[in-house]
This record gives sequence, structure tokens and C-alpha cells, in this order.
Amino acid sequence: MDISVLSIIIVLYLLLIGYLGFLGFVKTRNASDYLVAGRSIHPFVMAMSYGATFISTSAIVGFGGVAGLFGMGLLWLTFLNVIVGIFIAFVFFGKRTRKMGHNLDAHTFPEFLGKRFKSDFIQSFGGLIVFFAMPLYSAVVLIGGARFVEQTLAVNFNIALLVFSLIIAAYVVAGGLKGVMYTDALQGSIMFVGMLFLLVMTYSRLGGVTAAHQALSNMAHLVPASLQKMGHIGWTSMPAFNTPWWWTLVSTLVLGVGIGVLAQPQLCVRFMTVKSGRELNRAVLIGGIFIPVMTGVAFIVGALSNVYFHQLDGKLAIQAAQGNSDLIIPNFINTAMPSWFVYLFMLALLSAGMSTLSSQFHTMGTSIGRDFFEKAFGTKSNSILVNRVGVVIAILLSIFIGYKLPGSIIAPGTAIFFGICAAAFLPAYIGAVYLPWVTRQGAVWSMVSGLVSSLFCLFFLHAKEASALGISKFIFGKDFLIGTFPWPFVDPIVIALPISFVVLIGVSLFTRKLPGEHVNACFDGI
Amino acid sequence: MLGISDPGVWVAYVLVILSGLVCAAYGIYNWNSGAEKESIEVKEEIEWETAQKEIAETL
Repeated sequence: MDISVLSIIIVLYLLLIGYLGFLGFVKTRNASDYLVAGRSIHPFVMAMSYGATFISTSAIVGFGGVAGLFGMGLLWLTFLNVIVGIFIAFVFFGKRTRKMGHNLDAHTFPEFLGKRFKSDFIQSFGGLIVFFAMPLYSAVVLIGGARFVEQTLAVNFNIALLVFSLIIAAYVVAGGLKGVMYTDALQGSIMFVGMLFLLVMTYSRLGGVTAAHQALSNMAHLVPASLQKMGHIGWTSMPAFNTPWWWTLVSTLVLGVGIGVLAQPQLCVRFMTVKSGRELNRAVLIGGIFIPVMTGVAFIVGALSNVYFHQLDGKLAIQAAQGNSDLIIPNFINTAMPSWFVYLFMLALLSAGMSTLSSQFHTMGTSIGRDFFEKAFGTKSNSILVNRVGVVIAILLSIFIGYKLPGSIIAPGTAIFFGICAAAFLPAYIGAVYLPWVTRQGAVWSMVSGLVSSLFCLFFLHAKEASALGISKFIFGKDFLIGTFPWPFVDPIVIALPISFVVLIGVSLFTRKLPGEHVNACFDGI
Repeated sequence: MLGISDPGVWVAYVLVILSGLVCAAYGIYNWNSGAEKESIEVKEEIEWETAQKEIAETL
């Protein structure tokens, strides 16, 4: 660690953040100012601040590391990130969600679904799902930041996690940064240039694009025997079809996360905060450029780090990272890149993680206060207190989970959360914005069946989680219920999402329709 | 292609770039579309944001 370079970069970074925060604060004193000012802001600042919302410590550190293990087949996830997470989400869901959210005066995702289907149960049930499932996702985002700090500053992971968590807790309690547009733009710019720099440096160190890929292809025979047995046939090949490795890559990592992104509670709220439909069109441009540069580069570099470490000391990336895929990207960047770059990259990554976490904690607080407590108990009297207690519990729970989780967890943890959200929310969400004939009961039973089947698969069928949780072993005496291949490796989303869809349609066909005037009010202007 | 032998992987590599370009083209083509509704939309958004701020202040 180069203390002098690190100190200079931290001081410069904080000064810049402070100055930009101040600039944003004086220009945008309230919500209306922020929106109106947004119209006169330079498109570059606008673009980069949008871009910052596409940066995720989970995607870069966690999934980049997984690419070091699984190889470049993970690029299918980037493709889905762009087509589903950006194009379909913004063009086909964003505009409708925004308009309908405003028609219904909804401010959270569960509230949106609850008001659309005139059901307090949906809102409180949705709130509970978000409150209890999201700490897993925020825990892995925390881990992503802490792993980078651990590797860069050579400190113990537990200490890194504690310090990072305390900083975020202080940030959330202080109410987040004011005038975030400029500071977001700075993070976005640093990460955008940083990832491009990382890509160019990696390719040039390994002799160019084709030479680097070829070198990785030539390493196929080095795949460890245990992984070969599971279906891994090299880092530039898809796994052998219908093997455990193939099912994990395709069903869990690519489909689970690639489709699950559509039903993310934070994404839905983000659509409502966009100031006009025109901005959503523009966001498609920014997202279409940012996502390939963020996740695409992370996956390419993660896979190619195998060539780098093999040339350096004959190891594979996962071996150099002591068997923990979450350490592959931090380890590669620290070993292969100049120290000034590592420190700057770390700061931008941490501050991006901070804003992600802050919005996650905010989402969890409103889920328990506004969505669950107010609806379940029919009172607003203590809801402020419940909101605040909810945020504190969410922070503590996330930190606790962060300490308890094992290594190589960021990607699977993200996939579990995305999978639960997809099964519980996606069919009802599609019904909400596209299918006026979907009934309240249809939406309720779709959410219940999606959640129950998703949890059942996690607890009793999917080998990895079922074995780790031990519930199946405790009740039935075996790690998972169906031993016949491929079931222990089929991701819950493949089973739970179709169930949830079928229930939505089936129940809606036989139950009472919502009043026509309500449906018309929801779809007004759409 | 590009040193990647498996079409299952290089197709993904190419599709990532192409899909990014499709999004960029869509964004550029529609850069100003929907502008006619913008003043009404911004007004709606301000009302929504004001309510949102009240909720945020309870946290």
C-alpha cells in the first residue's frame, strides 16, 4: 500500500465530492428546483449521473469474479442486462409504470401493486417480502465493497466490513448527500473511464483482443478435474449442455439475474422519479452504453484474469484469490493496475456502493413502515417511528448477514434475491401495467404462490441452498428432496416463475374483475 | 472468431456490443420525442416528488 498516493487521492476525491455536493445543493434547494434545474443541466452531467445508477459493486466485484470461474459465457448476462434490464424495462415498463404510479400516487413498489389491485394485503405482503429478502442483497453489496478494501488496503475483511458499514450507517442517518446529481456524475465518470482503462490495459498486457482470448482458449486443459466433471470445458466455451455447471450458469446466473431485474422494487420506484417520458428514452441511450462498459468489461476482465495470473505465477484466478471468487476482481486490479488507479477505482466503487445501499435501506424502511405497518394495523400514528426502527433493523440485519455469509457469495446472494423478487412480483407487475383484466385475487395468489414455490425450491430442492440451510435434512433426513439430475441444479426461478404466471392467469379467469372506473383511472394516459 | 472458438460465447460477445448500439440508436432517435408532453409530465412529477419528500422526511 502506498500511503502517500492513497492520502493524496482521498483528499482530492473528498474535496471534489464536497465541492460538487455544495454546487448541487445551492442550485437545487428543493424537489421542484431539482426537477426544473435538471432541464438546464449539461447533457454530459445528466448522462454521467444516470450512468452512476448502473454501477453496482455486486455486478463488478461479485459477478466479475464469477466470470473468473465460469468464463466468458457469463456475457449472456450482460446481453440480458442490456436488452431486458435497459431496453425492455425502460421502454416497455418504465413509461407505463411512471404514468400509472403518478395516476395512483404510489411511492413504493408494494404500494404501486397494492393500489393498482385495490388490495392492502398486496401492499403489506409485498412490504414484508422486500423487508425480509432485501437484507441479503444489501449484505452482498456491503461485502463487495469490503472485499475491495480488504485487498487494496491489506486489512482484515471483518474490519473492512465494519468500517464500511459504519460509514454507510452515518451516511444514511445524516439523510444522504444533498444535490447528488453532480456527485453521481463524478462517480459515473470515474467508473466509466476506469472500466475502459481496465479493459484497454488488460487487453494490451495480454497482447491484444484476439491474442488475449486465444490465450484463454488455450488454457482449457487447465480446468481443474473437479470442475471438468461438473461440465466446465474452458473459459471461452459454454459449459457442456445439461450438466450441473451449465444449469448453474444458465438458470441461476444468466436467467435468474437477467430476468429478475425487471421486478426490482428500487427499479420501479426509479421509473417514477424520472421527470418525464423523454428522460426515459434518453436513459436507454446511457444505459445501453454504461451496462456493457460496467458488467461487460467486468466479465471479460474477470475471465481474462486467468491468463494474467497463469502467466504471472502459474495459477488460475480462483487459486490466486484463495478459492474465493469475490476476491478475483479486487486481486486482479490490485496486482495488475497502477496504485493511483486502484485507489481512485476503490473510492468511486465505494461511493457508488454507498448510494446503492442508502437507497436499499430507504426502501426497506418504507417497506416496513409505510407498506406493512400502516396497512396491516391501519394506523399512521407510529409509522414514522416504525420507518426509522425499520431502517436501523435493516442496517443491523444486513451487517449481521454480511458477517455470517461465506466466501464466493456475492453473485449467488444477488441471484437469490432477484429470483424471489421475480417469482413473487413479476407476473403481478406485468399484469398491473399491461393486463387490465387481471383480478385482485389473481395478483394476490400469484404473489403468494410465487413466494412459496420460490422458498420451497430454495429450502428443499436447489442443492446449494437446501444443503447449506439444513431444513430439508432436519425434516426429511436428506439434504434435498429430489436427487434425480438436473433438479438439484435447476434454479428456483425456472420453477417458481411459471407457477406464479399460471396462477395469475388461472385465478383471474375465475374471479371478480376490478371496477371498470378504477382500471380506467389506472390506465389513464397510457 | 476473436480467438473464441465456441459460437455460444462469441455470439454473446457480439450481441453485447450490438444490443448496446441498438439502445444508443434508440436513445438518439427518440432524444426529443415526447417533448410535447414534458411540461405536463414535469408538473405531475413535481407533485409526486413533493409527496415523496414528505415520506423521506419521516425517515
